[in-house]
Amino acid sequence: MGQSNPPFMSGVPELLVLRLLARKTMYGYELVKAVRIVTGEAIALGEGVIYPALHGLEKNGALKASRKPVNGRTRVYYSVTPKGQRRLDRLTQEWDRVSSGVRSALGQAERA
Amino acid sequence: MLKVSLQSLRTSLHDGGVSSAYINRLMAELDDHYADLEREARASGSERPAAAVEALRRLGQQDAIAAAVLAKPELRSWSHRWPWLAGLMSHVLLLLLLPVTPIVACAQRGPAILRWSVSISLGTAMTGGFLLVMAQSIFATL
Repeated sequence: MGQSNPPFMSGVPELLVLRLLARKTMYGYELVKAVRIVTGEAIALGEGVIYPALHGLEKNGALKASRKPVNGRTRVYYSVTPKGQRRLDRLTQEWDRVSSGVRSALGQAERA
Repeated sequence: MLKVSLQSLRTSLHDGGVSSAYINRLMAELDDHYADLEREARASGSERPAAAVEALRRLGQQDAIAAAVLAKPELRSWSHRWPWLAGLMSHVLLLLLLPVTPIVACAQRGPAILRWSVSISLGTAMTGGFLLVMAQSIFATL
């Protein structure tokens, strides 16, 4: 019995955010730049929507926010918690499963 | 400038039941992000007005940001997430307030209440005394 598919595109920004923050603690602007670079600008969103996503993950315990003063401003840095790391592992497995399924389907369609 | 530009976002979030503390935090982060975007645009040669327009464009539409926040129930205030609980708690608080209010009033206005009680008691005693004297004099004449 196959697992049900997770929400498709809605899960991708979350996966990217967790993946990038697992590598390095970042603040919002820095994170958006990193998303643009690693996806080759394939995923283009209004940059402001990254914050509700970050805050939702923080509320769910997947991210931890810490405030640091920078040039007279308080900047909020995000890092992945152990719970977030487990969520990232699960999402990565899901993504691998779905993308290999899609690749397989595309290959079969090409041969047919 | 950004604070003025994002006023409709603030209003939408407030109307949607998002707490003021969260709105202030989001606004602060958007403000910081906007400053970085504007600086980036100026560094690439744009004049200040053009840089401001570009920064706002990249920040995205306020409706989209508001929709992204409102789509997450965990970002709304607890009274909007569980209105039945908020209603229940307000009733419980009112019920608790009813017996507590006279106690608090006594504690805060103790001397005034004591003076008032003594005055009432003296007045009652004097009236009672007069009535007693009157009754005795009536019975004495019978």
